[in-house]
Amino acid sequence: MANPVTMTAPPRNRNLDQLQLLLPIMVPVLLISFIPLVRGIYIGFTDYELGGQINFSGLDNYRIMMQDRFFWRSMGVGFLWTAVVTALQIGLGMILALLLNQGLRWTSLYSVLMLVPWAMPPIVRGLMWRQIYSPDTGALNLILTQLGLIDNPINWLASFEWALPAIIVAGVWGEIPKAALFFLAGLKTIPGSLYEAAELDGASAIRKFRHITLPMMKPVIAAVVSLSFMWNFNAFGLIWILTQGGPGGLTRLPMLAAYEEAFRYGYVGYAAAIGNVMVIIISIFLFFYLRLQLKERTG
Amino acid sequence: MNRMISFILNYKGFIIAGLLSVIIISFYIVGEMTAHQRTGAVQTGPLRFLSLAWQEDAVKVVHEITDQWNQLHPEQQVEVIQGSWNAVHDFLITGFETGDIPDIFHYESAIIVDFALRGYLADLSPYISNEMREDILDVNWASVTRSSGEVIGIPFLTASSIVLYNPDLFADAGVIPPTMENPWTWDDVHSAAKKLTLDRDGDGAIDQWGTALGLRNCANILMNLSISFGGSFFYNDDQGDIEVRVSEPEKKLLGTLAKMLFVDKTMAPSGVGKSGTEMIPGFLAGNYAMVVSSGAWARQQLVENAGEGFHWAVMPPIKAITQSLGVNTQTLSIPRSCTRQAVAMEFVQFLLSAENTTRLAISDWVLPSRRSSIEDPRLQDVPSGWNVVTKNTPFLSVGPWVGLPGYVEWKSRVANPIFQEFFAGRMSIEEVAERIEKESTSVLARYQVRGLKW
Repeated sequence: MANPVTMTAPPRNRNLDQLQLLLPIMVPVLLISFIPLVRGIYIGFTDYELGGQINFSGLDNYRIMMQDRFFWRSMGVGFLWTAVVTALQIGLGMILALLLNQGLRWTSLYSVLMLVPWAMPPIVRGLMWRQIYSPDTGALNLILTQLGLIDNPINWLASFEWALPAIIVAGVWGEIPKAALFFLAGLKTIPGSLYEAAELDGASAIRKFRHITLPMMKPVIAAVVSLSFMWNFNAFGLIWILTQGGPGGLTRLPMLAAYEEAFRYGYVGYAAAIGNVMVIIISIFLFFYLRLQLKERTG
Repeated sequence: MNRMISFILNYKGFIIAGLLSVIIISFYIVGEMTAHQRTGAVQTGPLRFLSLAWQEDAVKVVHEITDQWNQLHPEQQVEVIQGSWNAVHDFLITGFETGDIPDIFHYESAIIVDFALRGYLADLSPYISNEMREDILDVNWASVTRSSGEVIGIPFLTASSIVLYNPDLFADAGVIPPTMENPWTWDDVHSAAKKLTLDRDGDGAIDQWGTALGLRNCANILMNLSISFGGSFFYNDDQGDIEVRVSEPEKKLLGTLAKMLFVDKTMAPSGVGKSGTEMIPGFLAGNYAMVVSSGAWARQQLVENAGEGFHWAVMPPIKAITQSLGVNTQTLSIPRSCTRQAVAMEFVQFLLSAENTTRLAISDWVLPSRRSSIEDPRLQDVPSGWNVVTKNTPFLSVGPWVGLPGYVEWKSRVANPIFQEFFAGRMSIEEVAERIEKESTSVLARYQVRGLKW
């Protein structure tokens, strides 16, 4: 009775097999990430306030946002912060990567040391920088007064002049390693023969960098800029620990503004709407930036 | 059998996915059900009490009293949850929204007003004993009682500000400190501060300041000081609506502080951007002769950290038009969703009995709300400054902003940033007035539209 044919695997649909491989990971992503995400986006279109009911309110939140001075101000701060931190971290990260790529002694030791700031959670970095900036006991004031550069200690994080530069320094410090690490990996992929050929033609170091390193690194730079832009625009922990958005709202990044709307003032729907707008802004930026990059590469 | 195995092997991807969905969905369902249980069905198990006591002694006293209750009431145990002032707000808000909230919680009147307006809090008035109602000061009840008579929390400690001074520095400069009978006016403070501002080591830089004031949370300080100047920022307009105005009394207050900071230069500029706590090390180091607005609890830090030979004392409130002190009250509240409100309230009355209130006040170094505790001999001690703190009681008063919908938002969104810019020397008094009046309208309008009533 036994039919040997049934023991061999039946001919099966290839698509079905692929689906089988994907499903076990898709289900948790859908249920744990996607549903809450969709719910969060939906809340941005409701009038949800703490203690209240959730009612659909269409574009009301966005209409209010158009005229919300506090929102626009925090967007301004957000762009300034994102642009400066991203630019500095790309520039300094590139310099660091080039140095590490010189084949100096102990390179692997430096690489590990370089990673330390990035290995710290933003909250810990924040606590550390708060110590450094402390007006009475901070290392920065101590060094500057001992060198005779300042007479009286400066309260860095509470000063209208210094708070923004202070958080930018702290932000850049923590993010350089990420850029440097990506760049170092990129530099390793550039064939040495290109440099040898350029040297035969008598190219200077700067020309070699401009005409070999930079073009070869373009895809890596594009990736790092995109990632950093997103990370920096969404920064929260570091700033929250250092200034809580003060003084006078000067360092209130969009994410801090959204947090305050929801948890301090109770406008959960409006806070979610701010989140939605941030996603749209990041998407638009990335769309144009990446399109530009890809065009240049193919062109 | 073979068929089943081959079926499983062929479709293992679908089977794993199916199992995962069942597991995750059942988590959702269990979570939803327990959330409803917490707000709905009768609960058992210990009552959860969120305490914010943080000074070592205060934490000990809270636990001792709770242990005592637990021994007397084996059928209804209470479990203390240690909270922190920094994180309590987010903790409570997420708790209220999800239904997973302690049965009794410790917080402050200025903020639970906002909770009450959102409908989070139980009305405690039916449970309050006559003894407690009469013993607690009216000014404390005023900060937690709605116009309907609903009581949203039991006030037990009063956060009032005190003026600290360094008697040795006063004696060196030949300044005689004021007495309870003859308090200082702000003019007296100005002239004393001039004598007390010195360059002691002769290097050309001031190292001893007449006054110091931690101005990071300047809105709180200014609002509470404004009452003594006869202003209050909030006024009722003709239609009975609340209006924010910066008129003469408020400008006088700003001018009085600005004079010391910018004109006389007798107030330590380092206070701009520091919190009240952060002023204490400088005071202990002898850099400041006076700290003009400090929490009463700061005395604990002084007692604990003062070096050999360092002396300090508390001065009676400075007189503007009056010596009034705006108050903020520490409270115990019960969420509306708590199903055991009566027994929770029994515990609150036990925890806040006259004797226990005194113990809590002593261990936390803050003025108690009960008359009998204020009169307790342990709170008349001179070296620890208790005598002045308790004698300040008649000056306590409640600002008209208490219970005002939107006050919490107004303070952090409008008042604090503008005052911070003012004290950073980036704005004139006229600009402050103009900006506060303009920005207040838009913030408060959101609340007036909703017609919330205290």
